Amino acid sequence: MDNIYYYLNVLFVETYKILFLLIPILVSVAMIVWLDRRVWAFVQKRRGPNVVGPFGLFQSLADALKYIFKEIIIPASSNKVIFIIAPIITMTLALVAWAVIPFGEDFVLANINVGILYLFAVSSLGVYGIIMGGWASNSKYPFLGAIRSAAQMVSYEVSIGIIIINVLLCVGSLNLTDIVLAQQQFWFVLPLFPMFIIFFISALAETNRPPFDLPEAEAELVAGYQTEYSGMMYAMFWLGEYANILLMCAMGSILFLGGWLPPIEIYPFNLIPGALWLIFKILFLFIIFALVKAIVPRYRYDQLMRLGWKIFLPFSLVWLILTATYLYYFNLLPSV
Amino acid sequence: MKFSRIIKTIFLLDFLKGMIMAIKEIFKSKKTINYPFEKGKISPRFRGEHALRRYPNGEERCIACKLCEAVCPAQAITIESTERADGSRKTTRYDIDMLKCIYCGLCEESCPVDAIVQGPNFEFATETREELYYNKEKLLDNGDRWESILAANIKADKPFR
Amino acid sequence: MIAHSIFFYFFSLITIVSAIMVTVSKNTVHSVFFLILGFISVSCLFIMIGAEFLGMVMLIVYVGAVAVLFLFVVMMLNVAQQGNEIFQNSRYTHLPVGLIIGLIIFFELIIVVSGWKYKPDIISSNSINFDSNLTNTHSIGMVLYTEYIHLFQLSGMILLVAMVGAIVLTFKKRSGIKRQSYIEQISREKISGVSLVNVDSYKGVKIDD
Repeated sequence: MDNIYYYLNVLFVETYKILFLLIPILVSVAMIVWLDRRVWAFVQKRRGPNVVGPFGLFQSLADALKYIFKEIIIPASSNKVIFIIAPIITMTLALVAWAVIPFGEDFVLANINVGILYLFAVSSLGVYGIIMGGWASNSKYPFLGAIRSAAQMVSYEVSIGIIIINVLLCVGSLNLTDIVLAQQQFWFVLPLFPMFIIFFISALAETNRPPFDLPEAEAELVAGYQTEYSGMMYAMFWLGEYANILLMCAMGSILFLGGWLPPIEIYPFNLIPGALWLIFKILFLFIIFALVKAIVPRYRYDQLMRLGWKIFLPFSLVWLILTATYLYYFNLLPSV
Repeated sequence: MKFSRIIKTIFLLDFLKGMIMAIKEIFKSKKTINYPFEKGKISPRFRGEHALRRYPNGEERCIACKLCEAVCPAQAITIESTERADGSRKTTRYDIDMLKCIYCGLCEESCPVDAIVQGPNFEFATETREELYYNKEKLLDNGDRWESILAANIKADKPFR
Repeated sequence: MIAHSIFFYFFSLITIVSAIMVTVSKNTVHSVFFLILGFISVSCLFIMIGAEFLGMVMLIVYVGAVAVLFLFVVMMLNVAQQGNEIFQNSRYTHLPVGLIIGLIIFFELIIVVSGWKYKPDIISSNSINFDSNLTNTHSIGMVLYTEYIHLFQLSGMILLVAMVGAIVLTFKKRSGIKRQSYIEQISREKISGVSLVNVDSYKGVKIDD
């Protein structure tokens, strides 16, 4: 009997922990959509959503409510099971990845050995939600959008992978907590600045954000893979997309901006708890994401592929060799 | 390719310039108005929701000449009339199908007594189609509600008619 | 231990069922999706035996890259309809070949498993002493980059040659198509594109192109 109590106990504690992580993330995803729209509007000298709640903060909640009460339309010729599974997969994968993000030295849901590989694997799985949605819709625009998106995400994953290897060379561990702790002297953004920039641009492409939002280029593809979706299913794609963007920002801040570490280990900065520092960094990266959306025109598809395969991939490979050489020559390789 | 262009491309200088410009724009004053709370200026000739006006003594202006019904290109107006005890001709029915109306303003122009006018109100969206079949009471009610503005608009536009 | 075995049977059941569904399902795209499900549950099994590195690499390489390409091919070529025709017209013509291959794999498995069971030192005969304090990522690295570095490099070279070969075989230089030079496009300056001319009235400007 004790055994069963033990398992039940574990189950309850873990569920509590997961809810403690998931609910703030879902709320912040809603807030981040508001922030995105607001920054976009401000750059264009508009006002943006400012009516619902203080400063329009509850706009996303109102939108979500609207989506919930809308009718879900499933096209007659679609592949129904896959059509329904696709948005669920997108959202689940975007949320599941948060399990390994450390908000503090002991403040992490699952402190696994291969944290960064897990993140990478989950983000590479994200493409399936989009492909399945596009294919199951059984319609031209969603299919084209899905094909574009899949090709785009697979290509940019390669350069993100090599950038991650760059960081791992300096750390000597795949654990995210170790990666942050390795940045106690200086953040990796200083020595690996070009990699940070390439990571940022690849993250834009990976999350289908402008200027790489070809999968949903509304001028050509209506809304890409989301065209046939409506109501709650569309909202799930939407939540998954923004949760992915937040995840990429978190990944960027952990790999390059020192995670929960304050900029300098001195008095006033020490007082702020580490989790807040991480949130500040994520917000900072997200605001840049939003600003980029406002200032850039969309890439042409061949330019996008050229940028990924012919510029980012060779450049990050060369930088990888340079990093390895430098570390080896000056005997700075981390002892595992 | 010029050297300066190479530098620009590698260090993303154009992009940075755009970013700085975007950040500057954020702090500039907004070009849009805060719509439901502020509204833009509307010309006296603005052709919005219809209204039937009254004389200051409360008598309807409309004399049921049916010029507006005849001129309406969308045939949105329906009028029926009868003779009153005092010998004047008045409408018993004055319907406008706001769904048919194209807001051309010809009814207002054709009216000899300035009875039917198009006011400045443009926020009359409804939840059902039926609510947009305006009848005489609704139009007269509109006229009573907007009278001061309608009179001022007609006065302001008088020299140009 | 109970929970462990429950999870083990859960994942292995999914693996087996999805492996069967890959061959049985009539829609090729569904087959690929079942294949992906199989990959994912296999990587879950890897994680369960403590080989988290292998599990994650399985996810990244097979699910994240290889299966996407499978899907691409299947979706683009529209194999779904062709496959159906083959399936219906000649249901039993491929049976002998399939049976032979299946039997060969089955016997190989029997040999491996029985060898493992009755002669346990087969595995440890040429293996490196395994340190349980290290993470399995580290121990794989220790073996891969020391003992088997030449084989590792060789397999890398083979992949590179295969990639170059694929590009050479499919690359055709076509004539009569318009190519775009990105560098020319983005390096256009205002001076080369716009010129201001004072136009005399009733004379116009001659544009030389």
